[in-house]
Amino acid sequence: MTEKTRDQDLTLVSDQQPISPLQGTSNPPVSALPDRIILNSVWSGLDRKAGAIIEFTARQLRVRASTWVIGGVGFLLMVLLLATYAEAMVEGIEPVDDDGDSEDWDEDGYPLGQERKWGTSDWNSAEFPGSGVFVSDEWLNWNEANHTGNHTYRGNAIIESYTWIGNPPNTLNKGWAQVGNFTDCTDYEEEYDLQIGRSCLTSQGTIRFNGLIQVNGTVGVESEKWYQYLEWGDFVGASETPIPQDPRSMYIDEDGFDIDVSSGNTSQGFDDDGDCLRDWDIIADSSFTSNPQFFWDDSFSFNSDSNRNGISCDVELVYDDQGNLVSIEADQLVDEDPSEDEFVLESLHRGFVLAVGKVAFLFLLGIFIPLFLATGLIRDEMASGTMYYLVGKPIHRAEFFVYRILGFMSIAAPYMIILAILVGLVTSFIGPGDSIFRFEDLTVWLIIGITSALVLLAYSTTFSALGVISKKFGIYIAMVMGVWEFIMAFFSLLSSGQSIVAWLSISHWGLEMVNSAALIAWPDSGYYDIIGSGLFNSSVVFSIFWNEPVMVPGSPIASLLVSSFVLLLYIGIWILIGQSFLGRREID
Amino acid sequence: MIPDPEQVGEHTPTSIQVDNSVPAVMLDHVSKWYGQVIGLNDVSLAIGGGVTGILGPNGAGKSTLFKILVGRLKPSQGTVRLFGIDPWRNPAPYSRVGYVSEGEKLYDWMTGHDFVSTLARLYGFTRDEASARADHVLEFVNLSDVAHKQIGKYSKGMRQRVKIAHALVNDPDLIILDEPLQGCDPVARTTIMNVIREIGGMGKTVIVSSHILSEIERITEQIVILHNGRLLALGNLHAIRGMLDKHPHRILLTTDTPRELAARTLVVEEVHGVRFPHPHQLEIQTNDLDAVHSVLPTLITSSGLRVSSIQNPDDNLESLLAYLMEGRA
Repeated sequence: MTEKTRDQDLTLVSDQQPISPLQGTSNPPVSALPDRIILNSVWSGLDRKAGAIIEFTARQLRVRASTWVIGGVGFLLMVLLLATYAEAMVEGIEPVDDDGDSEDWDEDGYPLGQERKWGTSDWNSAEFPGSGVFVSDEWLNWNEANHTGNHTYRGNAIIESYTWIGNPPNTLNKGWAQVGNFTDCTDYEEEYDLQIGRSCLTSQGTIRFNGLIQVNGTVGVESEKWYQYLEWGDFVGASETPIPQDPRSMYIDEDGFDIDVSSGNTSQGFDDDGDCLRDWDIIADSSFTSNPQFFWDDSFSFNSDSNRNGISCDVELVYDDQGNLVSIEADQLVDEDPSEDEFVLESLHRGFVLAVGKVAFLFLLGIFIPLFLATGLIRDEMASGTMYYLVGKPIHRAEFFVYRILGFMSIAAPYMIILAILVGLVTSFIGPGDSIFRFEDLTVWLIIGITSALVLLAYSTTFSALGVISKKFGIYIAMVMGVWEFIMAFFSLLSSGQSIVAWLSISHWGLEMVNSAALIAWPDSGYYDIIGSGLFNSSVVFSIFWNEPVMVPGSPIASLLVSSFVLLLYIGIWILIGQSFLGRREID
Repeated sequence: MIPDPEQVGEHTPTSIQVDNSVPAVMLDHVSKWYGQVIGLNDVSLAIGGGVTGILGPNGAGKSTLFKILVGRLKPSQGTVRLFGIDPWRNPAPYSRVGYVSEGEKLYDWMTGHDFVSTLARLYGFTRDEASARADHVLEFVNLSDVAHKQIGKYSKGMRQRVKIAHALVNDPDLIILDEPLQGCDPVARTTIMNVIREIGGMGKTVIVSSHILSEIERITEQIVILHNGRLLALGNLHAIRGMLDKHPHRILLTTDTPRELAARTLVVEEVHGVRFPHPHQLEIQTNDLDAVHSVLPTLITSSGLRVSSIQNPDDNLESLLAYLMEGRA
């Protein structure tokens, strides 16, 4: 009840008072608004209100030191990466001996590739081009004591009797046991073993030897001497004059790729250095003794059709039912040592584009810029007490949330897109290739820029909504989410996008978009990926940073659209969440 | 003057259908509590045109009431209507409301003109309209000279005035000012009080809060008194003042010669008695404060005695509240 006391102009109010028009009011009540005029008064002039908030937010970000610091760090990061890239491109790639045949393992001065040509072992310094090599015909069986005949023998054995002992075909090969002027065996030699190349007379009148020897007679092993063995065959490839040593550089980049994925042929490749094409059957042909040809040392097991497609020395391209290249199977020693400048530089360039696009733009800038600049878009206004200036207007809080994000995007998105285009222009100019400018790269950079903007929008919406959901803990939740996204990004990268868990992250869909862009711009990405990860170990950069788009196999454009849609859906959901929480948030 | 929208742009809230039957502000059994703490307790009130002062000590619920009115807080109970609409659910009434909160935080990096015109655009005005309106309201609050200076360089009074300017830029029908004089120097206070009176004189509904009785007294006669979150009284301040005046009042004078001064004041008919609470203070007791105040300056001047201050210890909000609480009891 209302109580009039002492003076008619004053009303003291009791506990349950009715609504009391203020006494003494001379002005009439003002006009009321109809209950549902929101469309007329709140959403009208959308462009003006949106423009004002977007412009205000952009100006607010521009005067913040943190904006310039983060933008500057991002720019500096790109400059450093570009400097590294430019250095690699200008200097080219150091040639790499992919098949390792420029090595000289036995240090006899002849590289492995040359030793292979001559059929000598690169693990035995006694064998080298021109020294000749023993090609075994037969071994002494375990139940045989000796063998009679005129052969070249190799073994650790005894000559029981002979009618002739020859001289070695040359003195280059240090594996020959000495003949003539035999000395008596020492007690040790009698009882145990001899050094390679040594021969001696035993107390029984036989000749013991270890190494190669040419004999017409009976040669055998002693049953109690378990280490003794014997084989006989031919000594081939010996040269009367020393063979000049090839420079090791001759065996680097000597077998390039001869594959054209666009041809559609399944059998391709060519053995440029001829180390696969050689006819290995002729090795045992003693007719080559006087005319040494290519053959192989017996330590190497070789199959000229190791990919088992029935064609020797080729490279098989394996396609799936949809016509996608799924693997490249090369025979041994075919296209195994291509020029780094031809393949690796291109692979490195593409790898750089993707690495920068994914790691620098999507992971680093994409996560950190929104984390530092977007989390407080609403939260900071609420915390500082200035929020009411902005929402105490005929603007629905839901639209305020969207405009605020758009204001952030009006600064962040152009920054990312311009940065992407700048980096793209530099890499397209100095990247490898015959043309002055790599126009095809622009597609990738443009999509990297757009993807970065989409990812920015997704993170900024999420982080901003988290800031609204919890004024106190929002930033911490956003940081945890940033870490999660970072982990998922690398998880998706390393699992080739196959991990379903990674699908729950924003970063996965960003990566999928970039993978799709790469496949659109570089249709032979699959080829580079397979070559890089399988055949050609030195070009793994591209293989690490590119994965086949998994959403719609075979259609990068469809994958790009699906990924964009998922990201937009994600953004939409978080906008609704942010709007819902902001609509119910009290602004104290 | 507050600019006329028709003079500065095309924007007019013509789509709003007019209903003359409701007051600008209406609260029906509104309560607000923060956990166990009650901010506002069962307040029912309707406020129409003119300037209305909301009086109450700190913690009385003035700011809570305003925050509920402008939709910053949701009432825990009861109904709030601005122009007949629930402001928590629908921000439409804000097109006719200007609000100055008690907080001091502003966008210091903006100029005064920037601040006002940018926020004006949130009402849907074009850039040019907003700029013209900003110019007008800044002139209205005497800030034209510094309109293009950064707010960070403004004095406290200027900051308060720029906040008032932003609240006027949409030519609102309802202006809510939460402690607009707090922390201002005397010159700024006078300027702001003049501004508020002028706005009230235009027929706008102005609600202004303060915890200082004399401030409100200089602005308006209509008051609402809040205490501990409850509506304690509402009505005409002169009526309250009259009631207060009929009660014993004290006038405290600080002087080096309290006894000499006492001897001279006791001859005044309305003076009932004197006390010396301090060796340099004289307390005069009276039932007619105005009568004593009218003769006191002449009396002091003619005596040649030096008086360094004159205070009215009972002429404050605490006394008023004590009095009202007594009446209520």
